[in-house]
Amino acid sequence: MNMEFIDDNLARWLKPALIEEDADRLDYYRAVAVSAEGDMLGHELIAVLAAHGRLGPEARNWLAGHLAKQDDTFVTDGRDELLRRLAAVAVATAVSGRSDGVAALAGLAARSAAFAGLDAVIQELPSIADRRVAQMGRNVRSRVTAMAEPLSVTVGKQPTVKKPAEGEAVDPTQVAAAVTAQAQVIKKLIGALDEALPAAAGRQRSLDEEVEMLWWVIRESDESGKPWASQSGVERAVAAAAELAARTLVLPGPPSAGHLLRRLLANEATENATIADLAVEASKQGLAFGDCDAHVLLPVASCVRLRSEFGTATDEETWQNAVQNKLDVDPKRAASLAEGSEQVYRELQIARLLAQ
Amino acid sequence: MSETRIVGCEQDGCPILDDGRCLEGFAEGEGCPHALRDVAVAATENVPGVSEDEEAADGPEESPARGTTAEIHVELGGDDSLTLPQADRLATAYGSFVVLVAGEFQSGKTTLVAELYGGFLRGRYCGWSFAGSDSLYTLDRRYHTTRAKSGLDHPDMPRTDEEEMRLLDLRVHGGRRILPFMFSDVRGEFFDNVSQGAAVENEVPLAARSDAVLVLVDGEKVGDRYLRTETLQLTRLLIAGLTEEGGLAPDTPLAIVLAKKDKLDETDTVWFVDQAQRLQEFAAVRGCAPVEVFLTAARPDESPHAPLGLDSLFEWLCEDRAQPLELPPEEADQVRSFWRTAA
Repeated sequence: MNMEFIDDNLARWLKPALIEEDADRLDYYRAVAVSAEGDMLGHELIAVLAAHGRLGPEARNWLAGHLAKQDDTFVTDGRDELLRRLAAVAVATAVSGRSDGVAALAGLAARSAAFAGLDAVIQELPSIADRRVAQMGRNVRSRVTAMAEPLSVTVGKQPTVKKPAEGEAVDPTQVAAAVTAQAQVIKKLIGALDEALPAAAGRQRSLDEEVEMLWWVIRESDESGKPWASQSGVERAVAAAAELAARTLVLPGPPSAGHLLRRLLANEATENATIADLAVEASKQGLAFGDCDAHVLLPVASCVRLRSEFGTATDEETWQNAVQNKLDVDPKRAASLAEGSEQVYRELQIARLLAQ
Repeated sequence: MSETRIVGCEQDGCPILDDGRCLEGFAEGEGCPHALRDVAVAATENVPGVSEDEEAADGPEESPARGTTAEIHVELGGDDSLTLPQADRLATAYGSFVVLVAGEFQSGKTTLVAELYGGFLRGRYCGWSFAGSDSLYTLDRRYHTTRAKSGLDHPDMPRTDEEEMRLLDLRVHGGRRILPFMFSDVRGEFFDNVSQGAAVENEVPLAARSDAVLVLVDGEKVGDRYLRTETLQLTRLLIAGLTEEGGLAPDTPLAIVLAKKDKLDETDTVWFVDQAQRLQEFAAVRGCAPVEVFLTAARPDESPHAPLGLDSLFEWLCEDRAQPLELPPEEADQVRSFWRTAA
């Protein structure tokens, strides 16, 4: 994904919020989006939410600050559509241009928004997020070859020290220069090793993760020893997502994660389950999504939380009403088990990124 | 009486009255902003002559505070049609879908927009509901001027008399989707100039910003065998002019709209349909897509309150044609079998 795509389409994305277009205004809005992108850390979720039409006061203030930074006379009141679109451009820019936790979180959150049934104000955002999350997942697992060449350091001319004859006393001051020179060589070697080892360690970590995931996917039972075949589709979808998340050493997860989950779900991958079904199962299995508050972009985790708050043994309705009322997310929204499982996996990653 | 009791909640499904649990987590609802309180009991202190029984009879069920999150807040307001800066300001608030209503002088442009607005005066129209307007006065005045009930012997439409590009705001919503229509309110003379070769970017600068175009053909002239060939030729020239550089963007949807269909007999209609097909092909060659033909009578003489053919035109305008762009090809990347487990 290149940034040219964003620049090329900026005018098209902002068009519905502009009647009078001119190059200066576009440049101004581009600068605002870039400024907001640079300040995305900690604002990822509100920005993604705004990019899907849910512009809250926090997002409004955040964007207002960046608009004011470029032009302190700009009035943001009553310009919600423009702010939503600027948020979307900022998110697209962050996801496309960065490769850090911010980009991963924004990308995963944008995919989560699509699962929750939110429409992005710029249509390409879900595809951009999808592609970039996969790309980041690949990049953090790239096999950098450590010590491809024999490790060597260049040293200058070493001082000549005459080998003492047997029994001849050695004057320490005579060998000091030689010891110092040797110490410098060793230091250089250590430096070269320090540079090479992280690559080797990273490669080892990604191989460990890969091997562990591959062994996991061909196992016939889950962690507790319960055969996958004896579990219902939704039970397997949730357990598989949790077990895969536990094996994910670096974020975002590998691009093959979805395929691994589908493989484990086999024929049931195409069966449907609602967000509520996934949440009930996640509650039963005691899935921990961290301390995240209920949030639209964490639909399953939010359902789990609100169910624990409002659900009773005989009442599965009230907590679903709470989800609808508080988050404006339909807990009865259905998706395939494969998508549901991926979503649980995604939310577990989001929770980890937020905790970091 | 200083305390009020909670008698319900404005949030659907809240069990506050059943078991005291509040959806917002407030203990027994105390402090919850959604809680509905027994205003009748509280109010009796200050309203002389009203007994508690009488107040209670109104009951909380009839409280206007009740509602659902699905309700759409309708914004009303505005006066005249909007200048471009005014429309620009409005677009930043609600977005915009600009419809260029093009056609020669008195071809029925204003009537068509007024009658589309009129559809919403009777409730939902083609599955869409009125969601607000900042040009309400103008739309209302133009709609009512068209009606015989307004007291005119010959209900007629005041011609657009502005010298600049103006827009009429009409926002509608259906389901989760909101369509912020802005219909152009541009004098026919500007389009006549475009037909005669004037640069579209100077005459109708709004063309470049248009999301869809309606090219109106005056049915009254099509019904006149001396005028109809010239009328169709001018329409062709108008489409050519609008699609020149500085005009419509490629792939702008265009509708060829026969207005005043009620003025045509069957033979004339057949003739027009045949000619319109050629215009349709011509517009497609000029880069418009999709191109459709509609036969309408926004205000038929026989039944001025029952427009003909506007429903299908409006539905066509509301169609969601937006397709996401194909992303540029990915950069060459390391490909590992583990990442290609689906292959």
